[in-house]
Amino acid sequence: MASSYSRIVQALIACTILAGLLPLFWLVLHSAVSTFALDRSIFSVLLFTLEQAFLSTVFSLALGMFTARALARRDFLGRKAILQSFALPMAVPAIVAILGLTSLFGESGIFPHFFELYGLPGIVLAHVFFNLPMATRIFFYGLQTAQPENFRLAAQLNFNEPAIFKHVEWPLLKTLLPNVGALIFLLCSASFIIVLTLGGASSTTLEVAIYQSLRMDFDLPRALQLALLQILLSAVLVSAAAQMIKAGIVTPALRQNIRRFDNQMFASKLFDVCLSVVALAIVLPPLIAVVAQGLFHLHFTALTMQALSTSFAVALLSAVVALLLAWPLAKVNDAPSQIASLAAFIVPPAVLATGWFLLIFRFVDNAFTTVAFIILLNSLMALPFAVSALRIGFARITRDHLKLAKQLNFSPWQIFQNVELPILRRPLAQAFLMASVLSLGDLTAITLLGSHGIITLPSLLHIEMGHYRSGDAAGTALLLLIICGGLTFVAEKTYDQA
Amino acid sequence: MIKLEKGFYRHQDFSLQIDLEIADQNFCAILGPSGAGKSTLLNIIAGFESLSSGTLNINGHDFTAAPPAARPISMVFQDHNVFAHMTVQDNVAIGIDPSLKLSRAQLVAVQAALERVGLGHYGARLPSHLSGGERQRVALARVLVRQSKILLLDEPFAALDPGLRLEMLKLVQDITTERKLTTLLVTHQPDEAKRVAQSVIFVDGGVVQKPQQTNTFFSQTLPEVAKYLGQSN
Amino acid sequence: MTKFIFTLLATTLLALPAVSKDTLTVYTYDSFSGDYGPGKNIKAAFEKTCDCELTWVALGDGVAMLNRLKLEGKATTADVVLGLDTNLTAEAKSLGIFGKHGIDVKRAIVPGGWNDDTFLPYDYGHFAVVYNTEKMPNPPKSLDELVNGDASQKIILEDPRASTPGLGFLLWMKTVYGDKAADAWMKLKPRILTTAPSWDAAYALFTKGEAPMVFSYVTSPAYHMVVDKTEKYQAADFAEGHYLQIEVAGLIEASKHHALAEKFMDFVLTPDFQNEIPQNNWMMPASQTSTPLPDAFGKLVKPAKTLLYSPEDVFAHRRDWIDEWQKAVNG
Repeated sequence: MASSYSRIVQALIACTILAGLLPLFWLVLHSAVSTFALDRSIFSVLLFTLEQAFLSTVFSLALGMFTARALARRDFLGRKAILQSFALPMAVPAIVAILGLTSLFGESGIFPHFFELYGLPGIVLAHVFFNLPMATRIFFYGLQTAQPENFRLAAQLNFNEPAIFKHVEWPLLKTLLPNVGALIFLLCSASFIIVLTLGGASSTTLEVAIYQSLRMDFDLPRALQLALLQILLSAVLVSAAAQMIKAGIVTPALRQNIRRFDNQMFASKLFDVCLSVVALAIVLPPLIAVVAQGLFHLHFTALTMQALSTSFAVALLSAVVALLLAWPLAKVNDAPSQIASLAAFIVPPAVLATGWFLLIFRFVDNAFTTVAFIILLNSLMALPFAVSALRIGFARITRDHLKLAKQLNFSPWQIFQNVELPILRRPLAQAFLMASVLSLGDLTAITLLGSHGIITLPSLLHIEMGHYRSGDAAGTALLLLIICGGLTFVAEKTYDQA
Repeated sequence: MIKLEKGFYRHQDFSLQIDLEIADQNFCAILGPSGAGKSTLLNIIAGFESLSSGTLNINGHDFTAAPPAARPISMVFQDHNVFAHMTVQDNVAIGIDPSLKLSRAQLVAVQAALERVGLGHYGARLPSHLSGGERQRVALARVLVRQSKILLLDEPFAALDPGLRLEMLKLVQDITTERKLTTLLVTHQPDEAKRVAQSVIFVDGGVVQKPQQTNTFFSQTLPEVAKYLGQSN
Repeated sequence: MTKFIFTLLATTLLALPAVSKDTLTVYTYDSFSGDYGPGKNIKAAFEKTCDCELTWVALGDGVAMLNRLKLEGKATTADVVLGLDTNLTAEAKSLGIFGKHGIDVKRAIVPGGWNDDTFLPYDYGHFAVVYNTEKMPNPPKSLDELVNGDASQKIILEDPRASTPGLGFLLWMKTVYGDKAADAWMKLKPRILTTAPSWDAAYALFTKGEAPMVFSYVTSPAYHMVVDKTEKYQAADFAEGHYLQIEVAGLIEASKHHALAEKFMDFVLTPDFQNEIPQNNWMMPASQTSTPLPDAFGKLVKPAKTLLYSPEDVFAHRRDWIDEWQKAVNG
């Protein structure tokens, strides 16, 4: 049952991807195209794509891992607030994050010239702003699945920090690392606004090249070639990650609020504090800048309310669809599921949108299909986040639970109700939060297919910026942040009750 | 000698009063209904839980606030005593040095400990290829190499079948004698206590009672003990 | 909860115009149709003159519109397309879907005059380097001074691959430097703080204070004078002249509402339409307005010379010129 559900979802996702690619193939084959070869410049494009994505991934993972560890082993006032604030960057539109970063490191910032904001370091910093908090949260909840006995044993056997890391924390982190790493790498290689705004004209990534060939040159064969190159690259990465995941399987504990007995030495505390400060110094300033600049510009016009309700409805529906798709993929957790969960990052959304347009929107194009498209694309983009959150939960359901369910002759619905739901409530809340926050901040779908009068908070923000209304835009950005903060708060409350 | 004076422990609605002495080289069983605080007592002695008030004294030294590693104690849990990613040999060796840098003599000691618990040929295996009983043997081998004088056992054989359980119990009893250990065993099986324990500590109603001779304990007529043992008056 | 979501969604969808009367579908760009753009008032004004409904289909920008038309071809649902500029009209004409507008071109008032019988201008604006007077007491007086000036005084540009002003600056450089444009780009390179993917990103960085100069429009200072009541931001008057952007409308030949589309084309050059341009689109009207321009418009730079490539030149060379730019800035 579960397996056929997962096959259906995999097939559905495959269909949406093919629906994006096949019309392009068809068009390319039926157009008079003479050249079908990649030129040399593509190598430098590829190289830069990999370089910036690699650096961003390494920094996000390393910093995220140790920040998560610092938060997991030191319970202090404000720990929860930090974790909650780390859910917010995902909702921040790229341009808002960039403006936030300029408040710190820009020419007009507090520390100008301290850091090369316009260039590769700036691109990496902005990517770390988005991905470090996400990685930290996933790693933190991963570390919470440790067996309490492991920490007791470590305490009794006088494990030092490296030993605790090596024998208790690393085995847990290791199972999450390939997935989170692949996800961040794909996110960064698909990054567009950040790369162009901070990198300038000389920073051309594969995604930029695809955009250029689709937009400026309308060179579909080239766009298709580049897209295939990107698919190839992603496929290699994802299957490598899938291989690595096979290596370690953990059975996480059922208990929560694990008591730890970590080193309370000054040096070790100092290390954790410094690390947390670095992480906060990257994540908080853009958020604080949004608050500071938006505070006196919060406005609630009819348009704002319309954008607010649309955003809210779209985000919640996207999150529901994302969870329906993510559930079987996380449960089965095989290689096809992992690849399916990353679909929207393997195939560039701009290519998908063009293909979908040729197949569907050319014939039916109204506000309803646009909303459906936005929800579909948002849920596909939220899928990897939802799957990674749920996967941690499913690992908690032991064989014994399922045997028991079989013995009691539970129907799949009863298994869901009595076994899966109680254990997965917390990861579900987490997955729902990630998916809805991501959808709230997303602008890709509307940009790709046109708005049809549909206005979401991020699109309102861009409209306001486009009309010199930077103050209103700041207010809208803050409103977006407040909504996401509220959602995070509600989701965390749900965990606590779980 | 383990001495808990005016010990009081509180966590949310749960509280436990402890005032007792356990003589050296004593094999002591801890009995009592589920949820009474048997494991908590072990966790307090091991340093995984802290007393709200009172003192813990071991062999004349105050250990009330000492971190777990500073205590002359080895503990075996019901489950998860081994690290899944390490070989059996490393799981024992880690009791000597957490960084696993062992001298030749220490490696010999590890092998001897494995042989003592009947796992002489299992050194290179991973825990996932061991049975539940074998995994607990690994934990006991680690106890041997650690050479702590106090052994705390928290229902370590509860998941094993009766024959195997008795075999393991015998192993623990032998080790206790050979190594002159003070052993505290939390168990749900009164017959285990009868078989191996010299004394019994009964935990019930938020109070840890003082140790009694095993014979004395089982012949007494206290209503709560009788109720626990399932004897109707 | 589910019910709540659906109610929300339903409300959102119902808020959109219901289709009943004859509907004129006009493709335009987001910022024109939105509530902050002139679209809202223009729709109301036009609907008064006809028993019809005007529907804006908002796409990202002129280029997005053109790409949409390429994908749709003759099957397009548009009756009128409003918001292409002269850099795109040659390519748009080559699609063979636009009909003649049939309006007297003399009614259009744009620098250099107008004689295209397919597209009709509805507004125009000269590009300009806008600078912060507080940070730059001596702005460059020519493109050449910008190119060869103090590299510590940075400018924020837009990417010609992604943005209309970005392409405008590229063309400006090309009209002034011709074959030597690549050299000029290399000289300018150290002055470029960054090349943003869109005008709004570039302008936001500029007003944030990231650089004393940004590439924008001659009309940009008018916004700050009218709304912010400040003359802090000014456009630099360049001796070589200023490159021009003319935004145009065109009607689809195969439109099912051809008469209505013709009526709209006529409406474009009437004061009811033109009055909305200055303060809602912050561009210059392409015909008579009935209300006078705000005073601020009188204080704007009046370019001595207008620079403009023909649509055919841009269509023929754009890709090569972008390649040339890319090589120059990457080198």
